[in-house]
Amino acid sequence: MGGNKIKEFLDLRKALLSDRDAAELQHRKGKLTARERLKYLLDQDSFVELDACAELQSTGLEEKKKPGDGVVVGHGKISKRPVYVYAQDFSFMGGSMGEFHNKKISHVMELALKTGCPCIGLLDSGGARIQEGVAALDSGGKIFQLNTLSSGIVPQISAIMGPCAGIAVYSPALTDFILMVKKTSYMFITGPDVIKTVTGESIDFEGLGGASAHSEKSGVAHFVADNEKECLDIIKVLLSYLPQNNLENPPYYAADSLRETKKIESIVPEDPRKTYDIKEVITEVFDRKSFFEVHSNYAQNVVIGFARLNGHSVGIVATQPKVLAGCLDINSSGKISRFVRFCDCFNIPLINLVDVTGYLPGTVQEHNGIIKHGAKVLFAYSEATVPKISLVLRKAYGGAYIALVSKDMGFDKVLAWPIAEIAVMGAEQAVSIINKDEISKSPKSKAGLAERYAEKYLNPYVAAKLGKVDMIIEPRETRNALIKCLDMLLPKREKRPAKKHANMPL
Amino acid sequence: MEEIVVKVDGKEYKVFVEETEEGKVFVHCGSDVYEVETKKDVEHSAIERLHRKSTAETGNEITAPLPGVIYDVKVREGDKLKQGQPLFTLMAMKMENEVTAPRDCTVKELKVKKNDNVNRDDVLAIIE
Repeated sequence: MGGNKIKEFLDLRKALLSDRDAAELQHRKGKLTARERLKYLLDQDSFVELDACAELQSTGLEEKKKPGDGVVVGHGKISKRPVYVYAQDFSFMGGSMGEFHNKKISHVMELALKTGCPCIGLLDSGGARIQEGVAALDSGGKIFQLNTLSSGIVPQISAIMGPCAGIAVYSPALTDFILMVKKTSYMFITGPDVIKTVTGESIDFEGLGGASAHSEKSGVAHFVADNEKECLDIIKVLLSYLPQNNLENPPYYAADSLRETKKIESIVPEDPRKTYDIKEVITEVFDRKSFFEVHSNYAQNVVIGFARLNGHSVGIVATQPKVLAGCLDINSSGKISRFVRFCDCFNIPLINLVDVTGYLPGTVQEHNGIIKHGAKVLFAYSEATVPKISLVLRKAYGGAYIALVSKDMGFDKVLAWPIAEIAVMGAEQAVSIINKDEISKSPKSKAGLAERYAEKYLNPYVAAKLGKVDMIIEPRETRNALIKCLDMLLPKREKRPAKKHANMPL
Repeated sequence: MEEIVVKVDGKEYKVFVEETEEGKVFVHCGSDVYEVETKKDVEHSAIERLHRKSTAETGNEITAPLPGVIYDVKVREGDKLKQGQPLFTLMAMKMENEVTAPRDCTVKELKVKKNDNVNRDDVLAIIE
């Protein structure tokens, strides 16, 4: 057999896989190379590289040509489950997205879609490769198209591990989750220089599009890691809660025990005006160490995340009395609805923990569209066909009640503690409307009226009598009751009328 | 071109300001022409607001997280506080929300008293 040809090939392969030059550049910045990242992310020896020989075809850049075109793509396994991956190589022309670079990314995305595997992108790129002109731009459009087609079919995860600027930001934005690394990753549409020229504002990369800007202010990033390895670890943890695709169920882990959740009694004050940390309740109720918070720094008045309940993946949406009284506002509405829709796509049951009086009042909220943003929450829950369980801890009033608890809107099981107050509004507000004339005649009567209203309506029994609450449980029974409800709801099937797609309020 | 009258040492000068399409600004003064650098006045742009907020968190102003009523003032001017120690209880959304010290600090000035109505982002106290 042609020994020479095989030797030639082996030499070529050795050259292709070497990233010595890249290593020097990346390590100096405290970053790993594309190949090092993939090695850390994937199970040992599981990576299979594709399109390693692809290189740029456009004229004018011949001297820079290098096999691979600045991105490493292929497939491998994470915890023995197959995934498709691509990792941009910043050391080659700044990881810029040329035509073949983009085609390689599209290639693995197509394969991920066809085979029902998660697709993970490790991004480190300065943006479109300007020299390649429209060819580079247009092939970027193909990536957006595939992101959109894959959405709701396979989980898509984007880790920003360097710059991600201009049009390059929109592929991550179309995926399900974005991770960023502190101090080394940036995302923005227009950079500090352009902003300076156009608006006169001075801002640095970190302030404009760093990890903290996007995890706390814009909400673009769902997770922030201190370093690259932590970032890759988060991807592995995240995948452990998710199925491979929309036709599978999430992985089941060994069941944790049934147990009384007594500690809750000391966490949640009986006085509905006192605050507490809902995360302590979550930790107590769900499987030990299973709570994995999403968007932990953004819109902290609502806590969302994955956890396991008796071994089953669930999505938690909980109001956080400790921050802004757990109120619903524009940011938390976006946070909730996107999470609910993700869980629904991938067959992850939803569990709500509710203790909230309503929406944040104010002109800022109204003028920025709380009406349309709040509608997203209603839309997302109404649309979701996964099992939906809601537990009212203390307060569920008015609009917040409908959004997070209402049986008629489609919650399958509603539970409440005996201290729960399910009503249209609080006592003082209610009597000042209902008993307006009486109070205007003798203002002193208000306190007594409010007290009587509270006694009559601020409890879970009025709703229970109407069949709007299925079970009233002691706080210590919370975990066991939720497990029993979930067990019975897991096989739930709910059909929706066929249509092209819905028109979600945006 | 815009005509402006400037007063220097009591004497009035008539100058013409010209802004080109590229954003360059020239000042015509008599027969002389000077190119000048301008500082654009950015009116409370989004990013500036964000900046103010992020400095407020680490800065010297304690602001109201929610619109509501000051239910309790727990400190006096001159008090030394540890990080996380409550300054006020703010009754809002039917809850007693604690407004806490963002870091170890001293209360320099209290801007509100019990039963005051406050809006979101109103300054409640100055710390140092």
